[in-house]
Amino acid sequence: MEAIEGIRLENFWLTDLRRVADLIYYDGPILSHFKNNQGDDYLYCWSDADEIYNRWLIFRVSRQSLNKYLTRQLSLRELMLNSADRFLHCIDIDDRFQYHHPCLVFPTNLPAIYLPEPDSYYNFEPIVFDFEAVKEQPLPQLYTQLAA
Amino acid sequence: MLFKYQKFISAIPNCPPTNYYSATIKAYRFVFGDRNPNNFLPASMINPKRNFPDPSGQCLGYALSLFDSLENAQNRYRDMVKGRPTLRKKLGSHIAEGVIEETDGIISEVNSAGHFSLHEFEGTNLQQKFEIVLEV
Repeated sequence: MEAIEGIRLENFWLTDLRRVADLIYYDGPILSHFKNNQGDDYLYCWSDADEIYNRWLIFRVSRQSLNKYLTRQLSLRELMLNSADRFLHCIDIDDRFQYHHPCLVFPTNLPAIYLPEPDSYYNFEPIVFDFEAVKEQPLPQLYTQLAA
Repeated sequence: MLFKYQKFISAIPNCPPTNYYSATIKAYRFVFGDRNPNNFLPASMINPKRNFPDPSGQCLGYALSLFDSLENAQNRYRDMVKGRPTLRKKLGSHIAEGVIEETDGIISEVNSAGHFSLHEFEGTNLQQKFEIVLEV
């Protein structure tokens, strides 16, 4: 996998995230929407793999940005380069779902091959798992249409 | 009828989901061109597993992703790779075509992007039923 130029962390911080939906799916999640207990929105973006780990980039997005992405007004590249925290978490997850090598990465330091193309607009249908989350805090109209 | 991965899905609630059904449908799937043994394995049977450990994800992890048309498969491949160029090494390099029959398993509804999932029955061998039709 690509070398990551980031700030190494002792532990992965985001331990209270629950999955709301897979936004892009093929044989497994590729881009997934999670929420924390405070209702903040995060995206898990599959980025790479080797024989031991799948590498995910995880970043917070504003509700407005998420809506714009799902309605094709923002690209995934724009979301990633303008994450709400100005950094992304990078984590390698093994076969037993154990998290390894947590670090923070600034978008400008991401390997170029991890950056989506400029026209990476949303053109899929989400698989929504947590309709309760939809009720708690209105989520994109795209989700509620599916829940109807 | 047992499912191909019965011993793994037995402990997962509502797996396969009750709204899956039998059908005969032409289907398309991303594969590697060299008859890679992983071509028709679901994500949870390939290490490292690309999944999350909640029940919904666990169940889908034993299903295969398919598309209902060559055009939808091509478009989704293009759109996915735009999002992550590294995905080529996970998805494959070709599209294969075959017919899923009622005796092969049960499928989900086809979504608006042309994607559906298949839980195979025991004994199903899609490697023998699919042929490569396009390099992507």
